[in-house]
Amino acid sequence: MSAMKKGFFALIAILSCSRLMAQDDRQLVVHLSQPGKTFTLGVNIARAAINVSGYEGKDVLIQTDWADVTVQEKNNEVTVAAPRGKTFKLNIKVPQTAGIFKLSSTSAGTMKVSDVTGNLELQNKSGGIIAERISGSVIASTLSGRVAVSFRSVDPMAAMAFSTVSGYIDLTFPPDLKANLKIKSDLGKVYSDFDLVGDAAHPKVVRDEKDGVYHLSIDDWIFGRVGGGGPEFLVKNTNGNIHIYKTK
Amino acid sequence: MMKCEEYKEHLADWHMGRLEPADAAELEQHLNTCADCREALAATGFVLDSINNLQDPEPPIQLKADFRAMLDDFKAKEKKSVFRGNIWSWLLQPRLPLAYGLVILLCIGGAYLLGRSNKQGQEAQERKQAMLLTMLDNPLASERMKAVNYTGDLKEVDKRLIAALLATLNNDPNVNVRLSTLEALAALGDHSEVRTGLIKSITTQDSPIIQLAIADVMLKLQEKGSVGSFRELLKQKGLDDEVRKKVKETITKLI
Repeated sequence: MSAMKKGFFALIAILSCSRLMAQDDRQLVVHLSQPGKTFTLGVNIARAAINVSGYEGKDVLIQTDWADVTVQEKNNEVTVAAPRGKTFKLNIKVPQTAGIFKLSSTSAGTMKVSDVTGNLELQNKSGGIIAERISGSVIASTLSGRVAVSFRSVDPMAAMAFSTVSGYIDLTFPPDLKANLKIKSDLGKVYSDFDLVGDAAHPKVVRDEKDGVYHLSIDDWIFGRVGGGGPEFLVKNTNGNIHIYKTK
Repeated sequence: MMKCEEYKEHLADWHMGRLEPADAAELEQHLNTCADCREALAATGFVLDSINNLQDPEPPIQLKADFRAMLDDFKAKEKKSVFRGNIWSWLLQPRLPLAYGLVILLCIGGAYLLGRSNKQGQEAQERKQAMLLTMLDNPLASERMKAVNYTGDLKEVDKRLIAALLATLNNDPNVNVRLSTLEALAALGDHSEVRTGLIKSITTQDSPIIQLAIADVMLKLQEKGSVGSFRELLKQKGLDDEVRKKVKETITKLI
């Protein structure tokens, strides 16, 4: 069968919103049914190294090295699935219009998302989570591995959360951030260059002005308002330090 | 045929069943065809029902006592003046029922206002709770987390909301939503159903993040009733090492 014919069949499969078999290490082009409108990307795969990035284009591009990957598109909702089995890579390129990202994996190393806009829900188990240059909101959780998230801009209405058991948490927000931070590290230390303001109901922020950095160490949740306060951001780990810094 | 304005004058009577059957039938026929009047009826009905449902609360005890003291005082003075037998006794006599009347009026007025503001506060509270329950079903984890965080602003939470929070703690697909919910529930630790729910949850949570956090919460609440569940958890195969260590520590600190 010629490559052109294969491509043709793949296109038919996508258009009819049905199962689609990926060929080895080849790229699938998924046309959104409502391009330009908010789309949803759902990936729930046990063992995939997921890498999502924004690009200048209207389609969702999926590149993988495993043939059993199934892709569906229905009402701007793209779902990627695969049976349990071998570990494989999954590179997805998405438009830079707002999207809802629900990515979940268990044991295939670091999950990475970059240059996207929208609401991100990222869950991993063994492996870190890296999200870079995000516009919108992030809720990220893993068990072993770091959580590193940097924002280009922040959705001012969204609640966020970042958690891991073993691994550091490294967050970077624009300097004009408005949020209520709720932070706890069982064994690590918390560092921030934001001006965290405690309130009467909660323990005050302990300052250690060495190097102009706030050093917070209290054996309970730390509550701190930034920029007069805003939605709640929960930050929690057991082992590893927590860094909350302004974009430089 | 009457005009809408004329029909509207009869809506209250119709609502209270005071219309003649023939008039009622005509109004009902009109209501079937006029959306405007149906809306007006709904509004009238709401107002009337709200008034009917107002309860007459008991006046505060302090008020009763003050009134009693005032009355006794007044009676004593009255007696004296009667003995004196001057013209003032005749003038003062009718003031007794007048005082009664005034105080009773004040009581009713005050109680009515008090009752109404209570009721309004309660309704606002209920509306907030209903909104939170809807938000807890939102497909976006960020929205569900916001709902959970809002519970901290509520003055009171009812059993329905506690049950919804416990369901979120046990079933939400997002670990961070479950973690926020656990912290929100920890703040409601003085409700016995929250403690019971949290203890039950110990053995059903599969995420080490939640297992570790729940141990912290039980320590904070000094909930000795959780020891049994923690011992059960230790029996689970494949339990995270970090969790095992923490749970053992927690049991030692609790007993």
